[in-house]
Parts: sequence; C-alpha cells; structure tokens
Amino acid sequence: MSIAMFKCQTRLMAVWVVGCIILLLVAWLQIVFGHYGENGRDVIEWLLSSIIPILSLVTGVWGNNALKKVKNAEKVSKGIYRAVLAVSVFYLIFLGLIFAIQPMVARPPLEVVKDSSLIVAPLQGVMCAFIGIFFTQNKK
Amino acid sequence: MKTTIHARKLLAILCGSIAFVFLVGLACNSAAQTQVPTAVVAMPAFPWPPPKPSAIASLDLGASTTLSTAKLTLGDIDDRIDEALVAGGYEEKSYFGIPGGFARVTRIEQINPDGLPDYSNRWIPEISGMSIKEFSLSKYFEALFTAPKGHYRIFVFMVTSNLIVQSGTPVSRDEAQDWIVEGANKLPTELRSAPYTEDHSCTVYVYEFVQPGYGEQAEQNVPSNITGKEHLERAGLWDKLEE
Repeated sequence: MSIAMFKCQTRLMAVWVVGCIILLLVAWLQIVFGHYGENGRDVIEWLLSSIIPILSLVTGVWGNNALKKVKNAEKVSKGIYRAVLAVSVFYLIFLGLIFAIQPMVARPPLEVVKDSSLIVAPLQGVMCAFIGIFFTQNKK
Repeated sequence: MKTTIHARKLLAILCGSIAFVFLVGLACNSAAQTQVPTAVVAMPAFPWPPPKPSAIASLDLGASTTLSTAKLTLGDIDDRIDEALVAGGYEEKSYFGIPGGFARVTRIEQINPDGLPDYSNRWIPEISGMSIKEFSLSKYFEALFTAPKGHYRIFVFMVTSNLIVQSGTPVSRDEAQDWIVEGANKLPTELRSAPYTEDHSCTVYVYEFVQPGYGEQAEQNVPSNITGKEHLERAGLWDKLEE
C-alpha cells in the first residue's frame, strides 16, 4: 500500500509546525511570567536545539517538493509514513511533557529541562533515523 | 638482698595505689548513676522585644463566655490556646518565657498565598510539587507559568501583662523555625497557676516568609498580604479561640 509522498510530507510538516508553535508558545509564556527566573535563555536554547534540526529538514524537503511541477508522482509506503508520523507525535508529546510535569515535581524547572536532555538526545537520533528512511523512500 | 626487699615494697605500694584508685572510681561511678538530677532548668526566653511580625492579631480570651465565670489562671488560657491549636493540627508545643507571661510558638507550616494551609505539603519547609490529591486546573496553570514560590508561617501566641513593643527588625526563617525545638515542652507549674488578670492580654504575632525559588533564601513578608485575624481564620483557629 503506498501513498503520495508530497501528501505525507505536507501532513508531517503540519504536525511539526503546529507542535513546535505550541512548545515555543508555552516556553515563551513561562519566560515572560518568570517561571525560570533569569534562566529563560537556557530553556529557549535547549528547546531550539531539540526542534530546529528536524523542523528545518521537514519544512525544507516539503518546500523543495512544493516547488516541483509534478507533485504526486512519488509514492511512499503507508507503513513507513505512519511510523514516522507516530514517532514525530511521540517526540513532540515527550517534549511537551517536560514542560507539563514541572508543576508536579519538587525540583527547579531548569533542572528538569536540562536533565531531560539525557533522553531527548537519543530520541532525537531515533527521530532523525526515521525521517531519513522516510525521505529516501521513493516508489514511482 | 636489700634491693629485692625494696623492689617488693615498691611493687606492693604500686598495687595498693592502683586498687585504691580503682575502688574510688567505682564508688564515684555508682554514686553518679544513682544520683537524681535536681537542678531546675530555666524556661528559655523568647527574643525580647519580639522581632517585627508580618501581621498581628489580638485575642480576648479572658472575656469569652466559657472562661469568664471562673477565676482564670495562665494555665486556663494556655489550655484554651492548646485546644484551638490541636484542633487546627498544630500539635507540637514550644513555650518560652517573656516578661510578665509566656509565649507559645507553632511549628513552621507551608501555606498558600491566601493564608490557607497547603495541606499536602504543610509541614515541609521547602517548595514542594503540586499533589495529585489537590489538583486543580487553575493551580496547575499558575504553577506551570509562574515562578515556583514557597509561603511559610509561624504563629507566636504571647500571653503577658506587659506591653508588647516589637523590635522593628525582621527575623530570618532559619532562626524562626528553630523556635519550635528551642522552647520548653510545657509551662512551669508556678506560671500555670499564676492568675490571669485584667492587665493580661493575648496577642498573636504572625511571621510569614516567602521563598522566591528553589534553594533560595526565604525572606520575611512584612507586612503580610492579609491581616493577623485572616491568618487565624484561614488556619482554622479564630473560631475556636473566640468561641
């Protein structure tokens, strides 16, 4: 079972853009209301390094395909598309959880963010691997 | 031959001395074990004049209906305060002597900014995470976006016939939270049986502290955002004390 690559890329990009906007909005509001005190910059740096590489890859590839005249010629396996979508959603939810659990734990919020890097880094690696497999699939 | 006799004498004297010292030591030790300490421990004194409070409340305990008919003693007043405190969950006692009476201090408790006890983390003197039991969306979003803060409170009940004029200098949280362990466990009998006269009054000093973030030094909140009476009401003490 295969599906048009451009359609999948559009959906994937939409998930990433919406997810990143929500995460950035939450982080920005936290910084504005002084949740991290004077350490807001550290949180933004951490968040950008966690989302920007994949977001720019997804949007860049989508943009490149959007400029092509024939968009739906390339096909991709539906299973691979679903796997990439699931991993993307899981990754973005995990990043969201790092913010969401902060009121429940008796630790400085910045420490929670920094310690989560130990899990975010390998997850980001897995995410990149799935995206790489997805973008190199090409059934004509 | 003579040398041997001298050596024997010296040895005998040495052994005798050791035995004497041993026996004297044993006797002293057993005497110390059976001796009952008779020294009277003085009641610890509360810092006087008292440090600047965050809020003040005056209680009219002597005029209350249940107490006014009898000839009151300081012990009766203490029992009345004790009853209210135990009902409010403040079970630890710490008494200090003050000029003309006594002071009773409560343990430091964590409160919400509105003065209500933070029941899930009440006796933890550090900023705590939100508990699932008391989850509410408004509290959650407040904790998610604003800086985590800790609010703490100590009540000091002062029953005295003297004037109370505070010192004007605030107290640190570390110093104030030690009052609960530095005070006496009960009132001395002489103080308990002392009459509660018209000159006596019961004044409550509320010491409130705000910790601006994890690991940061808590500062005294002077003045408090709410009155002393409101502090007592929200701690569930006012009604019991004014019954």
